[in-house]
Amino acid sequence: MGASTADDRLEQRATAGDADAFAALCDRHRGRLWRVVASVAHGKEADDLAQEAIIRAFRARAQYRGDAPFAGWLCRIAANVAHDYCRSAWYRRVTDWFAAEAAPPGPCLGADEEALRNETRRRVRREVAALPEDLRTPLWLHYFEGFGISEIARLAGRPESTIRSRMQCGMKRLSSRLADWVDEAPRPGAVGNDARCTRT
Amino acid sequence: MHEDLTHVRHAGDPRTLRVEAALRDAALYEPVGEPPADMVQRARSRWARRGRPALAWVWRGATVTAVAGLCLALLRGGQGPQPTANVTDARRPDPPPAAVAPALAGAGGGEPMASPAGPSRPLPAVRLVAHRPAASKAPRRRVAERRGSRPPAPRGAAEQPARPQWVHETVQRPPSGVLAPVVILEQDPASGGAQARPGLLRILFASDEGTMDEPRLGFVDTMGEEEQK
Repeated sequence: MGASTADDRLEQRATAGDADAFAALCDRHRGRLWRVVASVAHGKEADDLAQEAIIRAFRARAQYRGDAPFAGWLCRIAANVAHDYCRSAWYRRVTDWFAAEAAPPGPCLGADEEALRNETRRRVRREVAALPEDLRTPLWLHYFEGFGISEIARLAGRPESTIRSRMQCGMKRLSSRLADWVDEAPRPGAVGNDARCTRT
Repeated sequence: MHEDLTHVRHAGDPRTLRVEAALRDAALYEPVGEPPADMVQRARSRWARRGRPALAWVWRGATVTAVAGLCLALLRGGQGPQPTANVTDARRPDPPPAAVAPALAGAGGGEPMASPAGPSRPLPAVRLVAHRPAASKAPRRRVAERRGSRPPAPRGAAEQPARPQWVHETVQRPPSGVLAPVVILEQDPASGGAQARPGLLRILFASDEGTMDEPRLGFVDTMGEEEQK
Protein backbone atom coordinates (compact mmCIF):
# COMPACT_ATOMS: atom_id res chain seq x y z
CA MET A 1 0.00 0.00 0.00
CA GLY A 2 2.82 2.30 0.96
CA ALA A 3 4.68 1.57 -2.23
CA SER A 4 1.52 2.16 -4.21
CA THR A 5 1.01 5.53 -2.59
CA ALA A 6 4.59 6.47 -3.29
CA ASP A 7 4.11 5.38 -6.89
CA ASP A 8 0.98 7.51 -7.12
CA ARG A 9 2.87 10.53 -5.89
CA LEU A 10 5.66 9.90 -8.33
CA GLU A 11 3.15 9.51 -11.14
CA GLN A 12 1.52 12.79 -10.27
CA ARG A 13 4.85 14.56 -10.23
CA ALA A 14 5.94 12.85 -13.45
CA THR A 15 2.78 13.83 -15.31
CA ALA A 16 3.29 17.36 -14.05
CA GLY A 17 6.62 17.40 -15.83
CA ASP A 18 9.04 16.43 -13.07
CA ALA A 19 11.88 14.63 -14.85
CA ASP A 20 13.33 13.32 -11.59
CA ALA A 21 10.04 11.67 -10.70
CA PHE A 22 9.76 10.22 -14.16
CA ALA A 23 13.26 8.78 -13.95
CA ALA A 24 12.52 7.36 -10.51
CA LEU A 25 9.39 5.68 -11.85
CA CYS A 26 11.28 4.20 -14.76
CA ASP A 27 13.93 2.96 -12.38
CA ARG A 28 11.32 1.21 -10.28
CA HIS A 29 10.07 -0.65 -13.30
CA ARG A 30 13.36 -1.26 -15.05
CA GLY A 31 13.14 -4.98 -14.28
CA ARG A 32 9.87 -5.22 -16.22
CA LEU A 33 11.30 -3.09 -18.96
CA TRP A 34 14.31 -5.32 -19.20
CA ARG A 35 12.19 -8.44 -19.47
CA VAL A 36 10.30 -6.94 -22.38
CA VAL A 37 13.32 -5.93 -24.42
CA ALA A 38 15.39 -8.96 -23.43
CA SER A 39 12.69 -11.07 -25.04
CA VAL A 40 13.87 -9.90 -28.43
CA ALA A 41 17.47 -8.79 -27.94
CA HIS A 42 20.57 -9.62 -25.94
CA GLY A 43 23.33 -7.66 -24.28
CA LYS A 44 24.06 -4.20 -25.55
CA GLU A 45 21.17 -4.27 -27.97
CA ALA A 46 18.74 -5.02 -25.15
CA ASP A 47 20.27 -2.16 -23.20
CA ASP A 48 19.91 0.05 -26.24
CA LEU A 49 16.26 -0.91 -26.68
CA ALA A 50 15.52 -0.32 -23.01
CA GLN A 51 16.97 3.16 -23.23
CA GLU A 52 15.03 3.78 -26.40
CA ALA A 53 11.85 2.76 -24.60
CA ILE A 54 12.57 5.11 -21.70
CA ILE A 55 13.22 7.99 -24.05
CA ARG A 56 10.06 7.30 -26.00
CA ALA A 57 8.15 7.17 -22.75
CA PHE A 58 9.67 10.44 -21.63
CA ARG A 59 8.74 12.12 -24.87
CA ALA A 60 5.21 10.76 -24.66
CA ARG A 61 4.75 11.43 -20.95
CA ALA A 62 2.11 14.03 -21.67
CA GLN A 63 -0.06 11.30 -23.16
CA TYR A 64 -0.01 9.23 -20.01
CA ARG A 65 -3.31 9.27 -18.21
CA GLY A 66 -3.17 8.74 -14.50
CA ASP A 67 -6.12 6.35 -14.40
CA ALA A 68 -4.11 3.50 -15.94
CA PRO A 69 -1.11 1.80 -14.33
CA PHE A 70 2.17 3.46 -15.19
CA ALA A 71 3.94 0.10 -15.39
CA GLY A 72 1.48 -1.05 -18.03
CA TRP A 73 1.95 2.14 -19.99
CA LEU A 74 5.71 1.76 -19.83
CA CYS A 75 5.54 -1.90 -20.82
CA ARG A 76 3.34 -1.04 -23.75
CA ILE A 77 5.94 1.41 -25.02
CA ALA A 78 8.70 -1.14 -24.47
CA ALA A 79 6.68 -3.72 -26.39
CA ASN A 80 6.33 -1.23 -29.21
CA VAL A 81 10.08 -0.75 -29.24
CA ALA A 82 10.53 -4.52 -29.26
CA HIS A 83 8.04 -4.75 -32.09
CA ASP A 84 9.97 -2.23 -34.17
CA TYR A 85 13.13 -4.17 -33.49
CA CYS A 86 11.51 -7.47 -34.50
CA ARG A 87 10.31 -5.93 -37.73
CA SER A 88 13.69 -4.56 -38.67
CA ALA A 89 15.79 -6.04 -41.40
CA TRP A 90 18.79 -5.97 -39.11
CA TYR A 91 17.01 -8.15 -36.60
CA ARG A 92 15.98 -10.67 -39.22
CA ARG A 93 19.51 -10.89 -40.49
CA VAL A 94 21.03 -11.34 -37.06
CA THR A 95 18.38 -13.81 -35.98
CA ASP A 96 18.90 -15.94 -39.03
CA TRP A 97 22.61 -15.93 -38.41
CA PHE A 98 22.26 -16.85 -34.78
CA ALA A 99 19.76 -19.58 -35.59
CA ALA A 100 22.18 -21.09 -38.06
CA GLU A 101 25.05 -20.85 -35.61
CA ALA A 102 23.19 -22.10 -32.59
CA ALA A 103 21.47 -25.10 -34.05
CA PRO A 104 23.45 -28.23 -33.39
CA PRO A 105 23.94 -30.48 -36.36
CA GLY A 106 22.94 -33.71 -34.69
CA PRO A 107 20.51 -35.04 -32.10
CA CYS A 108 20.00 -32.97 -28.96
CA LEU A 109 21.20 -35.57 -26.55
CA GLY A 110 22.08 -34.10 -23.21
CA ALA A 111 20.81 -30.65 -24.11
CA ASP A 112 19.88 -28.37 -21.27
CA GLU A 113 16.13 -28.73 -21.22
CA GLU A 114 15.59 -25.67 -19.10
CA ALA A 115 17.58 -23.52 -21.49
CA LEU A 116 15.56 -24.83 -24.39
CA ARG A 117 12.39 -24.21 -22.51
CA ASN A 118 13.44 -20.65 -21.86
CA GLU A 119 14.26 -20.23 -25.51
CA THR A 120 10.80 -21.49 -26.39
CA ARG A 121 9.30 -18.93 -24.06
CA ARG A 122 11.41 -16.31 -25.71
CA ARG A 123 10.16 -17.36 -29.09
CA VAL A 124 6.55 -17.03 -27.99
CA ARG A 125 7.30 -13.57 -26.60
CA ARG A 126 8.98 -12.57 -29.83
CA GLU A 127 5.95 -13.71 -31.77
CA VAL A 128 3.70 -11.65 -29.55
CA ALA A 129 6.04 -8.68 -29.95
CA ALA A 130 5.75 -9.02 -33.70
CA LEU A 131 1.94 -8.72 -33.67
CA PRO A 132 0.25 -5.44 -34.60
CA GLU A 133 -0.09 -3.09 -31.69
CA ASP A 134 -3.81 -3.47 -31.06
CA LEU A 135 -3.32 -7.23 -30.71
CA ARG A 136 0.08 -7.15 -29.10
CA THR A 137 -0.56 -4.86 -26.17
CA PRO A 138 -3.49 -6.72 -24.57
CA LEU A 139 -1.80 -10.10 -24.90
CA TRP A 140 1.51 -8.86 -23.59
CA LEU A 141 0.14 -6.95 -20.66
CA HIS A 142 -2.32 -9.62 -19.66
CA TYR A 143 -0.25 -12.76 -19.97
CA PHE A 144 3.28 -11.53 -19.43
CA GLU A 145 2.80 -8.64 -17.06
CA GLY A 146 -0.28 -9.81 -15.21
CA PHE A 147 -2.57 -6.85 -15.83
CA GLY A 148 -6.31 -7.34 -15.75
CA ILE A 149 -8.64 -6.75 -18.65
CA SER A 150 -10.12 -3.70 -16.99
CA GLU A 151 -6.69 -2.14 -16.45
CA ILE A 152 -5.74 -2.76 -20.07
CA ALA A 153 -9.05 -1.32 -21.19
CA ARG A 154 -8.36 1.84 -19.19
CA LEU A 155 -4.89 2.05 -20.60
CA ALA A 156 -6.13 1.69 -24.16
CA GLY A 157 -9.20 3.84 -23.60
CA ARG A 158 -11.37 1.08 -25.03
CA PRO A 159 -14.22 -1.04 -23.68
CA GLU A 160 -13.31 -4.33 -22.09
CA SER A 161 -15.22 -6.18 -24.79
CA THR A 162 -12.92 -4.66 -27.38
CA ILE A 163 -9.88 -5.79 -25.46
CA ARG A 164 -11.24 -9.33 -25.20
CA SER A 165 -11.99 -9.35 -28.88
CA ARG A 166 -8.48 -8.21 -29.68
CA MET A 167 -7.01 -10.86 -27.43
CA GLN A 168 -9.04 -13.49 -29.20
CA CYS A 169 -7.89 -12.20 -32.54
CA GLY A 170 -4.30 -12.07 -31.33
CA MET A 171 -4.40 -15.66 -30.17
CA LYS A 172 -5.72 -16.74 -33.53
CA ARG A 173 -2.92 -14.91 -35.21
CA LEU A 174 -0.43 -16.50 -32.86
CA SER A 175 -1.77 -19.96 -33.53
CA SER A 176 -0.84 -19.56 -37.16
CA ARG A 177 2.57 -18.11 -36.33
CA LEU A 178 3.25 -20.95 -33.93
CA ALA A 179 1.63 -23.49 -36.20
CA ASP A 180 4.59 -25.84 -36.14
CA TRP A 181 4.22 -26.18 -32.42
CA VAL A 182 0.45 -25.78 -32.04
CA ASP A 183 -0.27 -28.56 -34.48
CA GLU A 184 2.29 -30.99 -33.20
CA ALA A 185 3.86 -30.25 -29.86
CA PRO A 186 1.91 -31.43 -26.86
CA ARG A 187 3.61 -29.04 -24.43
CA PRO A 188 5.10 -25.57 -24.54
CA GLY A 189 8.70 -26.65 -24.02
CA ALA A 190 8.86 -28.83 -27.06
CA VAL A 191 9.09 -26.37 -29.89
CA GLY A 192 12.66 -25.25 -29.45
CA ASN A 193 13.79 -28.79 -28.92
CA ASP A 194 12.04 -29.99 -32.01
CA ALA A 195 13.34 -27.16 -34.10
CA ARG A 196 16.91 -27.97 -33.19
CA CYS A 197 16.63 -31.72 -33.40
CA THR A 198 15.06 -31.81 -36.83
CA ARG A 199 17.77 -29.67 -38.33
CA THR A 200 20.41 -31.63 -40.15
CA MET B 1 -3.09 -13.69 -11.81
CA HIS B 2 -4.92 -14.33 -15.04
CA GLU B 3 -8.60 -13.87 -15.43
CA ASP B 4 -10.73 -16.54 -16.90
CA LEU B 5 -10.81 -15.88 -20.60
CA THR B 6 -13.16 -18.71 -21.49
CA HIS B 7 -15.57 -16.15 -22.84
CA VAL B 8 -12.78 -14.76 -24.97
CA ARG B 9 -11.48 -17.88 -26.57
CA HIS B 10 -13.59 -20.36 -28.38
CA ALA B 11 -14.33 -22.87 -25.69
CA GLY B 12 -12.80 -26.19 -26.46
CA ASP B 13 -10.75 -25.00 -29.42
CA PRO B 14 -7.56 -27.00 -28.90
CA ARG B 15 -5.36 -24.68 -30.95
CA THR B 16 -6.37 -21.61 -28.99
CA LEU B 17 -5.96 -23.50 -25.76
CA ARG B 18 -2.44 -24.46 -26.74
CA VAL B 19 -1.61 -20.91 -27.64
CA GLU B 20 -2.89 -19.75 -24.31
CA ALA B 21 -0.82 -22.41 -22.57
CA ALA B 22 2.21 -21.17 -24.47
CA LEU B 23 1.47 -17.60 -23.41
CA ARG B 24 1.16 -18.59 -19.78
CA ASP B 25 4.38 -20.54 -20.00
CA ALA B 26 6.14 -17.64 -21.74
CA ALA B 27 5.24 -15.44 -18.79
CA LEU B 28 7.80 -17.45 -16.83
CA TYR B 29 10.58 -16.34 -19.15
CA GLU B 30 13.81 -15.51 -17.36
CA PRO B 31 15.86 -13.00 -19.30
CA VAL B 32 19.57 -13.51 -19.70
CA GLY B 33 21.48 -10.98 -17.63
CA GLU B 34 20.35 -8.22 -15.36
CA PRO B 35 19.13 -4.78 -16.31
CA PRO B 36 22.05 -2.36 -16.12
CA ALA B 37 21.90 -0.36 -12.92
CA ASP B 38 22.52 2.91 -14.74
CA MET B 39 20.09 2.20 -17.55
CA VAL B 40 17.67 4.94 -16.63
CA GLN B 41 20.46 7.40 -15.92
CA ARG B 42 21.97 6.87 -19.33
CA ALA B 43 18.61 7.18 -21.02
CA ARG B 44 18.09 10.34 -19.08
CA SER B 45 21.38 11.79 -20.23
CA ARG B 46 20.23 11.09 -23.77
CA TRP B 47 16.95 12.89 -23.45
CA ALA B 48 18.64 15.77 -21.65
CA ARG B 49 20.90 16.31 -24.61
CA ARG B 50 18.11 16.63 -27.11
CA GLY B 51 17.96 19.96 -28.75
CA ARG B 52 21.30 21.25 -27.55
CA PRO B 53 23.10 22.90 -30.42
CA ALA B 54 26.42 21.32 -31.22
CA LEU B 55 28.77 20.56 -34.03
CA ALA B 56 30.40 17.32 -34.96
CA TRP B 57 33.35 17.15 -37.26
CA VAL B 58 34.47 13.78 -38.43
CA TRP B 59 38.18 13.93 -38.97
CA ARG B 60 40.89 11.63 -40.15
CA GLY B 61 41.13 8.09 -38.98
CA ALA B 62 37.60 6.97 -39.56
CA THR B 63 36.92 4.64 -42.41
CA VAL B 64 34.81 5.89 -45.24
CA THR B 65 32.09 3.41 -44.47
CA ALA B 66 32.08 4.40 -40.83
CA VAL B 67 31.62 7.97 -41.86
CA ALA B 68 28.83 6.93 -44.17
CA GLY B 69 27.08 5.21 -41.29
CA LEU B 70 27.67 8.18 -39.07
CA CYS B 71 26.20 10.46 -41.68
CA LEU B 72 23.08 8.38 -41.85
CA ALA B 73 22.78 8.36 -38.11
CA LEU B 74 23.21 12.08 -37.89
CA LEU B 75 20.87 12.76 -40.73
CA ARG B 76 18.21 10.70 -39.08
CA GLY B 77 18.90 12.01 -35.65
CA GLY B 78 19.11 15.66 -36.50
CA GLN B 79 16.48 17.72 -34.78
CA GLY B 80 15.96 21.36 -34.28
CA PRO B 81 16.04 24.22 -36.70
CA GLN B 82 19.72 25.02 -36.96
CA PRO B 83 22.16 22.94 -39.00
CA THR B 84 25.14 22.74 -36.73
CA ALA B 85 27.20 19.75 -37.69
CA ASN B 86 29.30 18.69 -40.56
CA VAL B 87 30.89 15.46 -41.63
CA THR B 88 33.56 15.08 -44.25
CA ASP B 89 35.36 12.21 -45.76
CA ALA B 90 37.78 10.80 -43.26
CA ARG B 91 40.67 10.38 -45.65
CA ARG B 92 40.46 13.67 -47.43
CA PRO B 93 38.79 16.15 -45.17
CA ASP B 94 37.66 19.34 -46.79
CA PRO B 95 38.72 22.56 -45.16
CA PRO B 96 36.58 23.23 -42.15
CA PRO B 97 34.19 26.15 -42.23
CA ALA B 98 35.84 29.39 -41.28
CA ALA B 99 33.66 29.71 -38.23
CA VAL B 100 34.98 26.52 -36.67
CA ALA B 101 38.57 26.57 -37.93
CA PRO B 102 40.01 28.29 -34.86
CA ALA B 103 38.39 25.78 -32.59
CA LEU B 104 39.67 22.94 -34.69
CA ALA B 105 43.16 24.35 -34.56
CA GLY B 106 42.91 24.32 -30.81
CA ALA B 107 42.04 20.65 -30.94
CA GLY B 108 44.93 19.79 -33.18
CA GLY B 109 42.90 20.17 -36.33
CA GLY B 110 44.45 18.93 -39.49
CA GLU B 111 46.32 16.12 -37.86
CA PRO B 112 45.16 12.55 -37.59
CA MET B 113 43.58 12.02 -34.25
CA ALA B 114 44.73 9.49 -31.77
CA SER B 115 42.04 7.52 -30.04
CA PRO B 116 41.23 9.50 -26.96
CA ALA B 117 40.93 7.93 -23.61
CA GLY B 118 39.52 9.93 -20.82
CA PRO B 119 36.72 10.44 -18.40
CA SER B 120 33.14 10.15 -19.45
CA ARG B 121 31.90 13.24 -21.15
CA PRO B 122 28.44 13.77 -22.55
CA LEU B 123 28.09 13.76 -26.28
CA PRO B 124 25.88 16.59 -27.39
CA ALA B 125 22.93 16.26 -29.63
CA VAL B 126 24.05 16.84 -33.14
CA ARG B 127 22.58 17.87 -36.40
CA LEU B 128 24.30 17.19 -39.63
CA VAL B 129 24.67 19.10 -42.80
CA ALA B 130 26.00 16.30 -44.88
CA HIS B 131 28.79 17.17 -47.19
CA ARG B 132 27.96 15.27 -50.32
CA PRO B 133 30.81 15.40 -52.78
CA ALA B 134 30.50 14.39 -56.37
CA ALA B 135 30.39 10.68 -56.96
CA SER B 136 33.73 9.12 -57.59
CA LYS B 137 34.71 7.69 -60.91
CA ALA B 138 36.46 4.81 -59.25
CA PRO B 139 33.44 2.51 -59.11
CA ARG B 140 32.71 3.12 -62.78
CA ARG B 141 36.30 2.36 -63.52
CA ARG B 142 36.14 -0.89 -61.60
CA VAL B 143 32.94 -1.86 -63.38
CA ALA B 144 34.54 -1.11 -66.72
CA GLU B 145 37.53 -3.22 -65.85
CA ARG B 146 35.31 -6.07 -64.78
CA ARG B 147 33.45 -5.94 -68.04
CA GLY B 148 36.64 -5.72 -70.00
CA SER B 149 35.81 -2.40 -71.57
CA ARG B 150 37.97 0.68 -71.58
CA PRO B 151 37.83 2.62 -68.36
CA PRO B 152 36.77 6.26 -68.53
CA ALA B 153 39.63 8.61 -69.15
CA PRO B 154 40.56 11.07 -66.45
CA ARG B 155 39.52 14.63 -67.07
CA GLY B 156 42.93 16.22 -66.72
CA ALA B 157 46.42 15.25 -67.61
CA ALA B 158 47.03 14.06 -64.11
CA GLU B 159 44.52 11.70 -62.65
CA GLN B 160 42.26 13.30 -60.16
CA PRO B 161 42.66 12.11 -56.60
CA ALA B 162 39.97 9.79 -55.47
CA ARG B 163 36.98 11.68 -54.26
CA PRO B 164 35.10 10.68 -51.17
CA GLN B 165 32.75 7.88 -51.92
CA TRP B 166 30.66 7.62 -48.86
CA VAL B 167 27.52 8.80 -50.53
CA HIS B 168 27.88 6.28 -53.30
CA GLU B 169 25.21 3.64 -53.38
CA THR B 170 27.74 0.85 -53.17
CA VAL B 171 28.86 1.91 -49.71
CA GLN B 172 28.52 -0.99 -47.37
CA ARG B 173 27.13 -0.75 -43.90
CA PRO B 174 29.97 -0.80 -41.39
CA PRO B 175 29.76 -3.48 -38.77
CA SER B 176 27.74 -2.56 -35.76
CA GLY B 177 29.91 -1.14 -33.03
CA VAL B 178 32.51 0.41 -35.33
CA LEU B 179 34.43 3.30 -33.83
CA ALA B 180 34.72 6.58 -35.66
CA PRO B 181 37.20 9.15 -34.39
CA VAL B 182 35.63 12.59 -34.42
CA VAL B 183 36.16 16.07 -33.19
CA ILE B 184 33.08 17.31 -31.48
CA LEU B 185 32.51 21.00 -31.75
CA GLU B 186 30.17 22.27 -29.14
CA GLN B 187 28.67 25.67 -29.02
CA ASP B 188 29.43 27.35 -25.75
CA PRO B 189 26.07 28.67 -24.54
CA ALA B 190 27.77 31.48 -22.65
CA SER B 191 30.08 32.89 -25.27
CA GLY B 192 28.45 31.49 -28.38
CA GLY B 193 31.83 30.31 -29.60
CA ALA B 194 32.81 26.81 -30.60
CA GLN B 195 34.68 24.46 -28.33
CA ALA B 196 36.44 21.46 -29.79
CA ARG B 197 37.20 18.19 -28.14
CA PRO B 198 38.15 14.79 -29.48
CA GLY B 199 35.88 11.82 -29.17
CA LEU B 200 35.10 8.43 -30.52
CA LEU B 201 31.70 7.57 -31.82
CA ARG B 202 30.59 4.00 -31.70
CA ILE B 203 27.99 3.43 -34.34
CA LEU B 204 25.29 0.96 -33.49
CA PHE B 205 22.86 -0.24 -36.07
CA ALA B 206 19.51 -1.23 -34.78
CA SER B 207 18.41 -2.02 -38.28
CA ASP B 208 19.24 -1.15 -41.80
CA GLU B 209 19.78 -2.60 -45.19
CA GLY B 210 22.97 -0.72 -45.79
CA THR B 211 21.19 1.72 -48.03
CA MET B 212 20.93 5.45 -47.79
CA ASP B 213 17.18 5.65 -47.66
CA GLU B 214 16.21 3.11 -45.03
CA PRO B 215 18.43 3.57 -42.05
CA ARG B 216 17.48 3.23 -38.46
CA LEU B 217 20.80 3.89 -36.91
CA GLY B 218 22.23 4.85 -33.64
CA PHE B 219 25.66 5.80 -32.53
CA VAL B 220 27.30 5.81 -29.18
CA ASP B 221 30.54 7.26 -28.02
CA THR B 222 33.06 5.16 -26.20
CA MET B 223 32.06 6.57 -22.88
CA GLY B 224 28.61 5.13 -23.17
CA GLU B 225 26.75 8.25 -24.13
CA GLU B 226 24.40 7.77 -26.94
CA GLU B 227 22.44 9.49 -29.57
CA GLN B 228 20.07 7.53 -31.70
CA LYS B 229 17.79 7.79 -34.63
